[in-house]
Amino acid sequence: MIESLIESGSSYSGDIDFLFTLITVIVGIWFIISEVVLFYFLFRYRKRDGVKAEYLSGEKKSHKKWISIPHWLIIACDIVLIVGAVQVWHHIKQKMPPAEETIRIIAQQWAWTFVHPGKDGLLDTDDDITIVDELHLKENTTYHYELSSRDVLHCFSIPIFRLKQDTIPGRKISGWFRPTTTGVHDVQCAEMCGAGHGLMPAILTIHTEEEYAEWLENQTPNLDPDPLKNEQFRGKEIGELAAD
Amino acid sequence: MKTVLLEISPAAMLKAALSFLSLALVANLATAEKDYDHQLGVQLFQLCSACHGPEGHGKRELLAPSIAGLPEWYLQNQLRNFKDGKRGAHPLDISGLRMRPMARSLWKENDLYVIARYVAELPPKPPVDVLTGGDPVRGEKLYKTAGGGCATCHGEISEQTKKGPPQDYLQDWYMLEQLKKFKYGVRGGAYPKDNKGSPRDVDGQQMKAVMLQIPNEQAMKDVIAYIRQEANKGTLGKKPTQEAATKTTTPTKTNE
Repeated sequence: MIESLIESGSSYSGDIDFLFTLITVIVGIWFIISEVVLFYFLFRYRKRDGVKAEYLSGEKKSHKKWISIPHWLIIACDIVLIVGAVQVWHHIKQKMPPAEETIRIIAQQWAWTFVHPGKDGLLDTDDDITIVDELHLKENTTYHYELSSRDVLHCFSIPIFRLKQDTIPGRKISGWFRPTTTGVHDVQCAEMCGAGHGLMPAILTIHTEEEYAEWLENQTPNLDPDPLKNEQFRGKEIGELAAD
Repeated sequence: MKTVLLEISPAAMLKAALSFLSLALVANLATAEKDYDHQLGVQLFQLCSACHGPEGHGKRELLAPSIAGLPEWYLQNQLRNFKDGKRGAHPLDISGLRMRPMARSLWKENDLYVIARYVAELPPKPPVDVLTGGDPVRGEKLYKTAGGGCATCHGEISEQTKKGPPQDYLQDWYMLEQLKKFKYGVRGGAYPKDNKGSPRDVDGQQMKAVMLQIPNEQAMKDVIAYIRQEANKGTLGKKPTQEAATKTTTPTKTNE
C-alpha cells in the first residue's frame, strides 16, 4: 500500500511498511467503530419531549461492558502490535547480518560526509573515497554503516530504505541496510539540527555491480596529498586546530 | 537597397534575429539583477546573523568571522563560490560546510547582490587579537616575499584585481584557520572537482601555491602577527573603497 506512494528500496523496507499498515488498519478500525458508536448514542439519546435526563454512575454491569469489553479488545490489539513491532525491531536493529562492505557516515551542520571503501573494500586505507553529500552504493549488497556526528544531534534518514537513525555527538552508531533497487534517491536529516537543518540534503545513488565498478574507477582515492593522509591531521578537524 | 536585402538568406536573417533576442534577454537579465532593496537585505541578514552575529562582527565559537564592511565584490564572489561548490565543499572544511547551504539558499541572483551590499554597508569593527607566539619581524619578511608579496593581491590593489580580501579587519584566528586550509588543500586543493575532473577553486589554487613558502603553523602565526601589527598601526593599506580603485599611484593618508 505504502510502496505505491513512496518507493521501497531496501531488504527491510517491506517489514516497516507492513508494520505501518498493521498499525493503520488496527487503529483505523477502532477509530471507525468508536466514532460510529459515539454518533449512534448522540442520536439515540438526543433530547426528546417527555424523556428526563438520567445520571449514570457506571456501576451496573450493562453499563460497564461498554468500557470493559473494548478495553480488553484494545489490549489484545496492542499485544498484536507489540509482537509485530518487536519482531521488526529485532530484525532491523538488534541483528546485524554479516557485512559485505562498510561505509562511514559523518554528520555535521549542515552536510553529510560519506567515506566509501575503495577497491580493497576496506575503510581507513589509502584508496578510500570521501565525498560530501553524495552516497554511492551497490544494489543487493549488505552494508554496515558507522555513523557519527561532529557537532549536534542529527538523524540519518533514507526514506526509500525506511531508515532513520539518530546521530549522537561522541558516539559511533552502527547499523545496516541492503539496497534492493537502483536509481537516485534522497538522503535527509530528520532531526532539527539548527538554522540550516532544512538545507542539508544529500544524494543517494544505487548502482548495479558493473556501474559501481565503473564509478569507482573514475574516482580519485581520497583527496590530494592532503589532510586525510597527513598524520598530523588524520582524525582532526581544521576548525579544532584553529581554535587551539 | 533592394539588392542588399535579397542577398541575405532567410536562415541568416533568422539567426540574426535570434542573436538579437538573446542579447536583449541577457541584457534584461543583467539589469534585473541589480535591484537593491534595503528591507530585503535586513530580512536576508537574519539568516547570517545566527552565526555572524547581529552586527556581522562574527562569533569565534561558531568559527564565523566578522563580515561587516567587507567589500561588496568580495562578498559576492565568496557567496557565489560557496553556492557553486568552489568553497566549503571539502569534508574537512567544518565552517565552510556550514556556510555552503546558507549561500545555496540565496537562489535568486538579486538576493546575492542585495545581501552582499547590505553586509558591505555594515560598520566594521577592529578585531580583538587572540593568537600568541607570532613574530612580526619574521612575518614581515614572509609577507613581503611569499608569492611575490601578499600585498600584490591583498593590498589596495585588491580593489582592482578583485582577488584577495583586504586584511585590516580579518580576525587573526580566522586568518590562521584559512591559511591552514590553503596549506593542506582544504581550500584551493584538488577537491572538489568539476564535471571535467579539474579542481573548481582556481583562485584558491593561487593562494595554495603561495602557502608553499609558508612552511608551518609558526610561520603562519608570524605573518598574521605582522598583518595585525600593521593593521593596528594603519599602515597595512587603507580599507579599500570605491575611490581606492582609481588612486593606485597616489599614496593614501594612512600610508604616509
